[in-house]
Amino acid sequence: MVYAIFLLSIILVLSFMSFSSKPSPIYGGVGLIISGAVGCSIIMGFGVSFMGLMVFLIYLGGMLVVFGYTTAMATEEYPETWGSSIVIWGALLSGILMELLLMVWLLEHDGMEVAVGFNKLESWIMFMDKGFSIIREDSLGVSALYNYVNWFMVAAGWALFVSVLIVIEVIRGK
Amino acid sequence: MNLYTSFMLITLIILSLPLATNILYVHKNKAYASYVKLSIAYAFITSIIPTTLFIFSGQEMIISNWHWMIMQTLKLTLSFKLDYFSILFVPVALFVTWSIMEFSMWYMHADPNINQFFKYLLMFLITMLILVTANNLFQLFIGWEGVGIMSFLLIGWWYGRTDANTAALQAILYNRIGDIGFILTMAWFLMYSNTWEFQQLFMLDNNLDMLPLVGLLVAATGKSAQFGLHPWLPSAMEGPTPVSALLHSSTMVVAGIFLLIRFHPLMENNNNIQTLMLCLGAITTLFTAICALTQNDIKKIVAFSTSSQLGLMMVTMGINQPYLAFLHICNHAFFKAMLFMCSGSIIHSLNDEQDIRKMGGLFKAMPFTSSSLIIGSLALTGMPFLTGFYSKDLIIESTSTSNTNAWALLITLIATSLTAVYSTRIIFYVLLGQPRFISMPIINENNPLLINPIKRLVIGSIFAGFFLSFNILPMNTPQMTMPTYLKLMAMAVTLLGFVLAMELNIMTNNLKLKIPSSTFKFSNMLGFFPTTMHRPIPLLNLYMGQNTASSLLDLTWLEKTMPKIMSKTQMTLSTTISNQKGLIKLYFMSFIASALMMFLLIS
Amino acid sequence: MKLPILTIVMTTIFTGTMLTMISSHWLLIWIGLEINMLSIIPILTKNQKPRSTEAATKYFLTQATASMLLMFTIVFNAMHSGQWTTTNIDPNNMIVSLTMIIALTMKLGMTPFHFWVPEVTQGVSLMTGMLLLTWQKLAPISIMMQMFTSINSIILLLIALMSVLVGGWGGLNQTQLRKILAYSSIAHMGWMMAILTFCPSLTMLNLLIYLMLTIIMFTMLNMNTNTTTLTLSNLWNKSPTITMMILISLLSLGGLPPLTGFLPKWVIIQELTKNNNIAMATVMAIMALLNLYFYMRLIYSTSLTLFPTPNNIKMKWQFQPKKRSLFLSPLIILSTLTLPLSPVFSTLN
Repeated sequence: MVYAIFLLSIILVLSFMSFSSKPSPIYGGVGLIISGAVGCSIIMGFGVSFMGLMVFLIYLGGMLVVFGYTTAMATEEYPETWGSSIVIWGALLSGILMELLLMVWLLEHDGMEVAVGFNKLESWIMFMDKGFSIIREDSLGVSALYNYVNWFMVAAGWALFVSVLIVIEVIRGK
Repeated sequence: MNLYTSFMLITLIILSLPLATNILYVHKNKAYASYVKLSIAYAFITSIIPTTLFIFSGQEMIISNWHWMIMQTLKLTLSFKLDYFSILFVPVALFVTWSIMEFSMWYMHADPNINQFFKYLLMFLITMLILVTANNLFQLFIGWEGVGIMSFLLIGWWYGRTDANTAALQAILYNRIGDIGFILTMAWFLMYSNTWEFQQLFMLDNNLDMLPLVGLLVAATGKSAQFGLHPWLPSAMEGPTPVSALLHSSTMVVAGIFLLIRFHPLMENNNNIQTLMLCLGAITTLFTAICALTQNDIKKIVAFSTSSQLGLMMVTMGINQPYLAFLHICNHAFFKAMLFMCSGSIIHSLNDEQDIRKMGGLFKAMPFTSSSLIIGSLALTGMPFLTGFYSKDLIIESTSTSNTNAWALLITLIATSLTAVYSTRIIFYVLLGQPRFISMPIINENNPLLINPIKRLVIGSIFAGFFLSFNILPMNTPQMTMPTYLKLMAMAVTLLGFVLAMELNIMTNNLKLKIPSSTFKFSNMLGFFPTTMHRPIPLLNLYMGQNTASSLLDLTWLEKTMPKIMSKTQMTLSTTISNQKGLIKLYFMSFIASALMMFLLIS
Repeated sequence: MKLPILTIVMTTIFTGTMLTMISSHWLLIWIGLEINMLSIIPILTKNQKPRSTEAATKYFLTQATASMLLMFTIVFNAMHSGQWTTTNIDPNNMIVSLTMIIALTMKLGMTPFHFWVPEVTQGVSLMTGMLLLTWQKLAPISIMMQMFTSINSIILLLIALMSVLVGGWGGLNQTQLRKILAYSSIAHMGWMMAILTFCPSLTMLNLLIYLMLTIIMFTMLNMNTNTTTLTLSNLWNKSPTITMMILISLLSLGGLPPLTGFLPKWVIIQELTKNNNIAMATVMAIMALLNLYFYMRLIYSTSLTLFPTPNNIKMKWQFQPKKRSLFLSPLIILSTLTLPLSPVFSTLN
């Protein structure tokens, strides 16, 4: 499992590099999607399946839209790819080097816990409301938040609405 | 009870009357000049009485008139010391000044401010008498400074002329250098002797440090124009001739020597200061005699002869003979005043011509002035049984028989010889030969205002020395016995000077003009002393002042360090800080950098 | 912009800040900041000019970064303390306390993170600039004031000092009025943050007076749409009264004694010296002179001299000004003449 996560993390670094090195938007979108998927896989690899799934779903939806737009908007005949600049290769090399170093360090100290620790999120907790029950912390915690602090949902909804509205307003022009 | 003090004070009161009556507008009166002259004459007559008393009874006296103030433990009184020196000097000075005043009435008759001129002369005389009669340093200092200020005003009398102004400035500036020494001495006495009264100073300690004595010597050097501080004296010739006469005979220049005579009790046991005085005097007398040799201005020759005589007086102080020096002061006053008055008469008659090369043949045109001039010159050179002889011969004898510096003695002898040379030169060029002045100016010497004072001084020049040394007991033991060649030494060098000068004058008179030799230039340019001293040093000072005050302080410290650096710093920082290019990527880079730095700072 | 949308946007701007100010839950605070930041974007781009768009982009990027950092801090804090309450920030947790400072100072536009302020302000219109420099400061400062006990004071003082320095030096080199006011805002933020850990009520006092002064400055500039020193120098024949009022307000902004602007500087310096922070107080007072210098330069060109411009007529004929300024007079009085009321401000404690 550890090796799988390491592999995924290398892919994560590569994909981050792929969109941060300013290629054409299409390539950038691809890198972004890959990085999102890989990131969610890493989280799930740590055993946080609910959060990983949620993030992947939402992210994928947003990213598909972005990818669709960028593909539609891309008008370059010869779009810029990753291999066109020596700097990227250098950055890539150094990124992988850093990643390898990190791996070695983690293996030496046997401490995945040192870097990240999501293991508490999946635990079962006692929940007391009209009698005891035992629930999963992550998935039910979210629903409990919206259940017991219901006006928080109003606020969150308003925030989402405003975000969409403002994006549209800014794009719309006169 | 005698009339000693009363007459002395009456003398002083009579003298100050013309000044005290200022509120009555007497000085606007036409007769003011003759009034001043008469006051001085009366003052002279009243001052004769205490002098006679002194001569016959030998009594000295101190008058303490008025308690002035007390500063801590220092008591200042208005007090007059009527001793040997002052009681003899006062009538001499009054007699000479009386003649000079009368002469000025003739010489300055066309001056619109003649009354003010007389007032200045009178104040000059009064300050000199204050100096002479003072019994403490403070009172002496008042007289000392008064003499300096009045000489400044009188030398610069014709202030429209640049030369007169610079001469006056030179006089006051060189005197300030001397004053530094005087004030140093005053401060030293105040600190270590705690008194300024003479008798207390002389009683306290006769083995002093060199410091106050050197201060006194510096003061005397400034006032009496000894070598180093001498250039003001020949320049002072720019003043009117009566001023020169007064300045060089009985006031001002002898004040320095007089100061040393006053403080002789402190110096008589100090060999170092005496050697200093001896050498200084010898250098002065020779240097100024050399300068006198080639001058063409008649007044300048006479002025340099004064300087030379002052050097001789200083030499006398150096061989520990203050009474002899004092006698020379008194004798010198007569013939030197007369020499100046004769030059004034000549200059006036020749329509303000001072160059001896343009005179000549005046023996026929001005017989009285010529005779007086010759008598004065002979007295100056020390011709036997004229006034100068009685002091000068004694000085030379004392010098040559004392165990002092043979070098100084040699130099003094040479200077004595040179005295005869330049005196001959005056006589030869001014009086003998053919006239060389332009046409026939109106030469007239028959004015009683001119004749009478010169006549009186001629009598003084012939007999005063005899009378003075006949009547006054010598205070130092005079040199009684000596070899014949030493006795005749002074006579011999003087005669040698006469003969040489006569020969040289006749020889050179008709020679072709030649490019002057460097020896001649040295003498004629006053040893290059004023040129080297008056230009580079002030120039250096002015440059230094400009550099420090303007360049260093104003432009560097006050401008560059604070305001300029301030504005430069602010401008640089301001442009650096607000120089944004609008590149958001760089901004975020700096955000990361500063965030990382904060983490490093904290951890 | 259509009226309904404008209404929604403006309401969201105000509710966002309000939400931040009244919440004690980090998530709500973050939501408030986010919607406030998002909804000001259309206001910034109202002009539809490239400069405005650029300004909006810059503003969005920096504020989003700051929000992201804040979110990170919140989550990190929740992980370590299990708490979402604002007051429960662990002061010993270096990462939390420092990241919080960085996030909030970035939102406020203080010195290492100040580059966006002059550019964004210069890119938008005067009234929007006023909104940016006044209302947008409220939410971050309210968070700061809620958690000032757990803030790393050394870093905060350092940031404050740097802000004062940059505010002084940056404004010296400007002729654009909005940039000058932006740098002045940076300097004032520095003064507020300098006193925060010692006496937060003085931060409040300074904020109040700064808000009043900035509002009237922008309002007065907006009346004749002056954006440069040159146009300001031609104001004398258009609205002489405003010229005088600009003079007084600028002097008050610079903190000259008989005016209200002196009060915060006075008490802040006093409080700093009481807390043995004399060096800092001295440096801040000296740098306030630089601020005063460029205000004086504005005053000089506004009311003390006549520029050699072709505009030489004595009185300029014009219509009645269309732009309304409702609270100009009371605000001028409040922001310049209320120094005698300083005991009243002490009730803020």
